[in-house]
Amino acid sequence: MTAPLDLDATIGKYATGAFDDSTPLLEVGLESLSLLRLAVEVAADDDAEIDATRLAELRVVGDLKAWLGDLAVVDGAASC
Amino acid sequence: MLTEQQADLAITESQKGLLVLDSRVAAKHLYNQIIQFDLDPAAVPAEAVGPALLALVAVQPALRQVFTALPAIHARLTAPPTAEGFPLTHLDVPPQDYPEAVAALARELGPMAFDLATGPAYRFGTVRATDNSAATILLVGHHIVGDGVSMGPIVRDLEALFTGRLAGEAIAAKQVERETALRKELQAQNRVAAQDRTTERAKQWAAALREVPPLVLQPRPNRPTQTAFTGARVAWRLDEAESARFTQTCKRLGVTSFVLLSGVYGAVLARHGAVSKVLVGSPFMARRTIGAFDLCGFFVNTLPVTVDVDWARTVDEHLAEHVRPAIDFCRSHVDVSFNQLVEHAQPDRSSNRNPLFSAMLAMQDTFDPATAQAVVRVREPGNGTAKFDLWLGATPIDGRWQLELEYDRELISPAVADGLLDSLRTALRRAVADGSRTLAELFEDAPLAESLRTDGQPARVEAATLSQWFEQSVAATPQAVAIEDPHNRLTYAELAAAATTAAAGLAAHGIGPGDVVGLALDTLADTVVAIMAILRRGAVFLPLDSGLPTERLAYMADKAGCRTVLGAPLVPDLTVLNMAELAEGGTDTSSLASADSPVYVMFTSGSTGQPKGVQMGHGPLLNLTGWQHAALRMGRQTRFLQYAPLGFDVSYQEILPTLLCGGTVVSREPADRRDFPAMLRRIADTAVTHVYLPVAALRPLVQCAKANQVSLPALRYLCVSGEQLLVDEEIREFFVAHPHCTLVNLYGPTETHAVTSHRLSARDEQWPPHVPIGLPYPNVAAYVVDVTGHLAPVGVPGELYLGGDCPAEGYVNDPQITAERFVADRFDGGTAYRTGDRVVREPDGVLVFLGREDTQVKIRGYRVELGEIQTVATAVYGVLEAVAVARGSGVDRELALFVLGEGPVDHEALRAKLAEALPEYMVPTWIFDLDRVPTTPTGKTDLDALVALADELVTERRIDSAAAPADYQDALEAELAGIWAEVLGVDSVLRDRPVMAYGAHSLNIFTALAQVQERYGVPVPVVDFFSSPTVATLAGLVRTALAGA
Repeated sequence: MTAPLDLDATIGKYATGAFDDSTPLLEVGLESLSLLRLAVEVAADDDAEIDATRLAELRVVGDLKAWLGDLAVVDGAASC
Repeated sequence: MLTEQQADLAITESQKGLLVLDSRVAAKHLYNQIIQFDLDPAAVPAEAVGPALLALVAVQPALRQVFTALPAIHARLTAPPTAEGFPLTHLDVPPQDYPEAVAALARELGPMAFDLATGPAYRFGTVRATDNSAATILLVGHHIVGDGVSMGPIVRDLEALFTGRLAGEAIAAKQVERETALRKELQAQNRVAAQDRTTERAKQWAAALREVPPLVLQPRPNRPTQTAFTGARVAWRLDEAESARFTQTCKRLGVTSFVLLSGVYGAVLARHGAVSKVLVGSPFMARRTIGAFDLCGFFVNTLPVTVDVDWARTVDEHLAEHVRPAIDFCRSHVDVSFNQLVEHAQPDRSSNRNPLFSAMLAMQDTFDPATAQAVVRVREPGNGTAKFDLWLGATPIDGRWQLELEYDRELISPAVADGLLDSLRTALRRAVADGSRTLAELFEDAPLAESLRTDGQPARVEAATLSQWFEQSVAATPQAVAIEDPHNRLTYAELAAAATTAAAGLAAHGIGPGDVVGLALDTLADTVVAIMAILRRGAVFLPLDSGLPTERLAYMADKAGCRTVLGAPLVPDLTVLNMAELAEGGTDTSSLASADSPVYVMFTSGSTGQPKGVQMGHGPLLNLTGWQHAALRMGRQTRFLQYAPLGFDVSYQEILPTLLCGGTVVSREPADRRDFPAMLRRIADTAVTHVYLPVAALRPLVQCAKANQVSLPALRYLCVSGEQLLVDEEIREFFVAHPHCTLVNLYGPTETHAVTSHRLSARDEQWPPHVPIGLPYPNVAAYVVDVTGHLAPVGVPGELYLGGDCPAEGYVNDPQITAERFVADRFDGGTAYRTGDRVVREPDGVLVFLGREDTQVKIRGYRVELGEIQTVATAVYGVLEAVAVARGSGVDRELALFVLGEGPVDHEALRAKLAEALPEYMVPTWIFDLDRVPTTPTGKTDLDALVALADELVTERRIDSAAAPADYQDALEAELAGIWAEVLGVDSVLRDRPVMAYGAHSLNIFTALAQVQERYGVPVPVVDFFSSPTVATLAGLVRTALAGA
């Protein structure tokens, strides 16, 4: 396990405005490219995998945090 | 150095697919991509660029891939390059030459093919202004080593290299790290692709894709299926206000730029392709491992976004509720590869086009200028190629979207590409301005002037009515011959006198303005006298053909309100008058014709089961006559053959315009209309100058002329109409041998009469095989109305509406159907007729016929509504459902009827009923039973499947016939059967079976009879043969003729 991340702070680097967990991602400028940059930033290591098929399900910041949280703790296996 | 084991790479399915595609195209630079990195020249010294590019290739292993097909298709990594031999071209140019130098270098480097087996698969160019005001790097790479997302990692690496963050030993360490990352990414992708779950998802998706109609931009006959992939681009850049509205719209709807552009682009494609659903290919990011996000490489998956277009839907609803879910679907299926979709969708692979989609959208928005210092701008210029029929690239440049359309130059002409860009520009502007607009409202009419453009011929109308114009003609040339048939020559004075007498007779029988008078007379002279007399009375003529079933004639007369017939008593209970009776008594009055009175009623096939009577007024016919005089150079020297049956509107064009210019109408008689050798003799003997034939008769006539070495020195215009004209060298040769004669292809439904024409002659070196229907006459508006309800731009198919001075008054005594087809002309006022014909306007303005919007077909020029046959069939006891289809092409086109019965259907009884109710050309050649009517996945009757089934069943029946013992009575019958078998393309023909059962029709019957005449040296009485069209009958006729010879 890695140390708990401050996901809000990390997301804040890419967001274009204030947000909470219910804020729609697009409202704060979080499109697929920035989601991937976030994923790269918080991923546990370079071998971690992103299941891009799940990206389409992310609608609000809360969804994103849950997804990033999963990504941060996997150990190289697919995160399906 | 890398070891062999280290160097081998198991590439992805997408890479394999691309290699296969690449190997199949002749244009070896098709998959070359050019990326232009504009640098801040102050931040990047000239001497730093070369070493940085060397290092870039070292730390981006994908660039160093080479590809081998054996023993299995795979890649190998080559060692990092050295300065020696590094593919880099550098130019220092004066600042004023800089932009052109960059473009020229791109043009030089872009088209050079790569050898993927030996590498490298990249080359660089650098250009710097001598005053250090500008600098750029051009990277030309094969697509197999990079994708759109690769731009980000490359820019980051360049930034790191130029700023010194990546230097020295760190480069070697980064090389190892990246090579490892590349292997892991490839492994991850290959692992997922092999999963059963992915395969199952691919199958389901592919099944849905099969239901999407193909998108064909700028449809036209003989559109190439193979191209050399040469491309050109047109571009538009949004201004700041438009870009701001673009962003606001995305934010308001909670959608991405990709969703907005896909939605609008999809609507543009649907408009231009005349479909309601389109597949827009787009690259979807398919990188899986975190490390791969720093890699250049080909990791995209190009997938089809299904854009469903409902023209009544609002923009907001379209984007948020349809396009976004469609894109989310693709994103959630990004593990399914393009190759898997192709494998399961099994699309048509006969062309060298992309098998799944013809249009592409690429978002080129991965460069973020906010994070860059040395690289200030990135763009992807074109390379003179087009991988797709149409590609849209969207690139944000300095905060504004640049939209570029790249099109295949063999498939899309520059004017059509401009039209696509116009549509895109208008639709996007409107979509971001007001989301409550419907999708149809995103578009606007093409310029009205295109619809009003005519062929440039004048249409001088010299009198208010046909009757008055005729009187002028009589006064001008009283002693000229007006009518010539085998029995009679009537001068204009004689014709006028006879018509005046007959008009008096009609008056005596109470016929006056508006009354409908049936015509069933035997000779041309009587017919013309009667027409002129009826018009003089201000009455309306209704042609009644004795060849039609009585039931049909009775319906026609009743529907038209006809109570008097001149000639034969074809319809019970009507008053019948002959010409002699009309000549008795009566007092002539002056002409009662008025410009407001109808001229004739002619019936045409109707989809509801009964024919429709078109009531034609004076205006269109006067206009047509004026045009014809000018366009066909008609005058006193004109000798026009009267060939068409009176019930076809072509007969008007043969008779009236000739009489209104002092020419001579020449009867085809004694030649039978279907006897081409006899017709040709008649044309030659009478030295006619104008002949007007159904399209289907053109080839037999031309063949006959060639076989008999007949020349027609008097012929000036050979007009054809009735169905799509297809020409080839055989037909052109006739006109080369007759350079004084012009072929005129005329078009127009009965509801408007002929309204457009296209002409060809020996002077035209190139004859289009599928001849256009051409340009309209003066005062005729030809509107191509697209699927959005707007006037279609050039290259966009639509339904042809005909307005101006051509629509008939409507269907006689049928206000409901009249209202459906004769509609208000919203473009230029008045009335427009909806033809139901699908056409496209070519960039040069001519109209091309593409087909029907409904199930109307043409059988040897005769217009047939399949629905009418079906209605008659289902009225037969025991028939639950009936579906008619047309099979075959050209003169061999024939009808087949499928029936589904409560029990076994009595085919003979059904055939008898059809023959009783329908004209001969509408009676299906074949009748087949069905257990169930096949349907498409959307529940419609699958007509394509039925046509294929008909082809199969006809072949079977012909084989069965061939297998049956052909019991001929003598050698003559056997010989005649042999002639028939050859003409009809069957193995044998039974002696007592009608030749129609083998696919014979009026045209090929005459081919066969001409052969019989040639072999035995005696003419065959055509009418007698048609009464019982069998080998046995024919043998009897030949025997009789030989005995009498």
